[in-house]
Formats: sequence, structure tokens, C-alpha cells
Amino acid sequence: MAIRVIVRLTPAKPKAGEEFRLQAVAQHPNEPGTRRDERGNLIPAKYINLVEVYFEGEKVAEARPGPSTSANPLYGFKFKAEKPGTFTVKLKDTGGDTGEGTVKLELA
Amino acid sequence: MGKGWQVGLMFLLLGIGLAQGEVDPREEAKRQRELLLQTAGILPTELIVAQGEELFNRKGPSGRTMAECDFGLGKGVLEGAAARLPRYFLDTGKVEDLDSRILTCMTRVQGFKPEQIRRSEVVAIAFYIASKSTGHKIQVRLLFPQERELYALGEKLFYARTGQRDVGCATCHVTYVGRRAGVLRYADVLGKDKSWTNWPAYRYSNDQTWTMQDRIRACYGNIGHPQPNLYSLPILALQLFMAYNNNGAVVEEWPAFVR
Repeated sequence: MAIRVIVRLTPAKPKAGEEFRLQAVAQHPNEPGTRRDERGNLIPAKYINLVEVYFEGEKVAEARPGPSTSANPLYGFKFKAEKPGTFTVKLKDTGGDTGEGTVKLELA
Repeated sequence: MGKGWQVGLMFLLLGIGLAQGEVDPREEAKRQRELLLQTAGILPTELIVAQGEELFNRKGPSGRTMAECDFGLGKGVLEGAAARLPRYFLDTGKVEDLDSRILTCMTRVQGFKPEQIRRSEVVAIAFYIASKSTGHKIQVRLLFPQERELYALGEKLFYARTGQRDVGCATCHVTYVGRRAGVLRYADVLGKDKSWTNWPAYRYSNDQTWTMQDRIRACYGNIGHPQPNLYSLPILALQLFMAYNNNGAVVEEWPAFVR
């Protein structure tokens, strides 16, 4: 199943040379593998362990989150605006599910 | 000097205490929403709405999406549809609210079996359809005899006092409006608080996605009363009663963001 991702920029239209934040929120339970269900059985671990940010097809950032991340996590990255283009955020979890979200960077 | 300082501190602490006691939980919810928008830029409701949109456009076993369903304004018309529910539908011969209309659509048009339908999916779709009514006015009518009959039942249930504690909806939401048992003051459901426009909503303090159906069930739970089933007649009746009494209220934001 695909992981749902929403990606935004803050500010939405940065000026050239200005710093901005790229923020991605994913819909994912991020099970750490330590929680138990109502019958006392361990819930198997399944969490996002790879976040990659691409700009125009080129990888510009990568994060490897661990199991202790909240459900529906927010990932934020700081960039400096230089030229307009498209950011793609790719996620992968320990179960092999992937998710992708895109956002366009337009300069003010 | 030492004493004056102590008295001053006491007044300061008292002042802080009073100031904190005066925070309106509704204003606080707005502040939390702003904070979330500043840090994340994305509200949890937006994820649910996106999920609902995907589910809405998903093909069911019959090969049809939910765009083939009539939510009261014609096939696939969602703009303002949720603000006009609950209403009587000729195809089912029943008064239906948003949740039960989604259920009807999934079983009748899309061909899902009732046991295949998950509540979380219904809520997500309800969030999506409700999001299309932001800014619309509540316009619920009592045109058909079935609607009037259900409204009468809703009114009866709203004012009825039942159970071990001998209380009902009106005990808190008419008699004790403005007083409180928890953090929030009892809402003036039929009057100025326009509670019908507060749901469906995301509750940030315990990360819940609720529609009015869940809210009514929780109310019954709070007064030590057996909770009516989802999509059941008592819930529909109460919803129609509340919606009709909130006619003309403008939906500020659906899905809402509440405590």
C-alpha cells in the first residue's frame, strides 16, 4: 500500500537566496515493534526508515529515521532557494511500502 | 521590604492563575491550529481529506466510483451537499445523513458487502465530502412526512430524561449551558454555538477523527446510557433535529479542528 504524503513549502513562494522549509507529512502508524495489542502480542515493527528529497531528479537530502518516530510524522528540511523546480519526497518503510509526494518551488 | 515582595509575588501568581483560567477553549483550539500550521504547514485533517478523496475515486466491486452516487444534489455533486444533509432520499425511502448516505453508496452503487466497510474509511470519505461544504449555509428542510416524523422523534429524544442518572441531551445543552464538568463549557447546541457546524472534526487533544455520529454516541456514554449503534435511528433523529435548529448557520470550516 502506498504511503500518503503531503508536501508544502514555507514560505510558499520564497525569494531567490531566501531560506525556506520543505515539510512533508506522511500518513503512517510508525509501529516501533515494542507495542502490544489487546491480546498482549507484540505488534510487528513497521516504520518509515528512509526519507529522500529529490530536486529535479537529483537527490538533495536524505534522512534515516528510527523506530521512535510518532505516527503520521512530519519531516522538515531547510533549503536555500536558487532556481525554480520540483521537489519530490520519497518515503520507504521497513515493510517495503513506498510513498511519494511532490511540490513545485516557484520564486517570488 | 521582604514582606512587600512576597505579597507582590502572591498577586502576580494569582494574576497568572486567573489569566490562565480565562482562556476560552475555542480560542485555544484556534491557537493550536495556527501553531500546527506554523510548524508543520499541514493540518492532520488535510491528510484525512486526501485519504477520503482517494477512497471516493476508488472503484468498488461493481467497477463504479462514488461519483456515481447522489448525495442530494445530483450524481457526483458535492459542493454544498453535506450542508443540506440529513434529508429524505427517494431511492432508499429513508432519511439519511452523510455517514449513512456514504454507507448506502458503498453498498448499493459500489457493490461492497456491509461487512467489508470499515468505519475509518467512512469517516475519511465524510471528511472529504464535508470539506466541499466549507463556507456554505446549513439548509435542512422538513419537506417529506418521513423527515417531519424523524424530526419529532429527535425532539423527543433531545428533551427526554432517561437512564439511572435521569438526564438527557437537554440537561447539559439547554439547562446547564455555560457550566461545565470537564474543560469545555456545555455548548448551546440549539442556539449560539451552532454545534451542528462543529462536526465532522479532528480533535487535537486525543488525535481522533469524529463525525457527529461519534459525538452523539460519546454524549450518551458520558451520561451513563447505552450508546446507540452507528447509523441507527436515534442518532439520525437527533442529527436531523440539531441540523434543522442550526439552519442558516455558516460552516466555518469542515472538517473542523476542535479540542
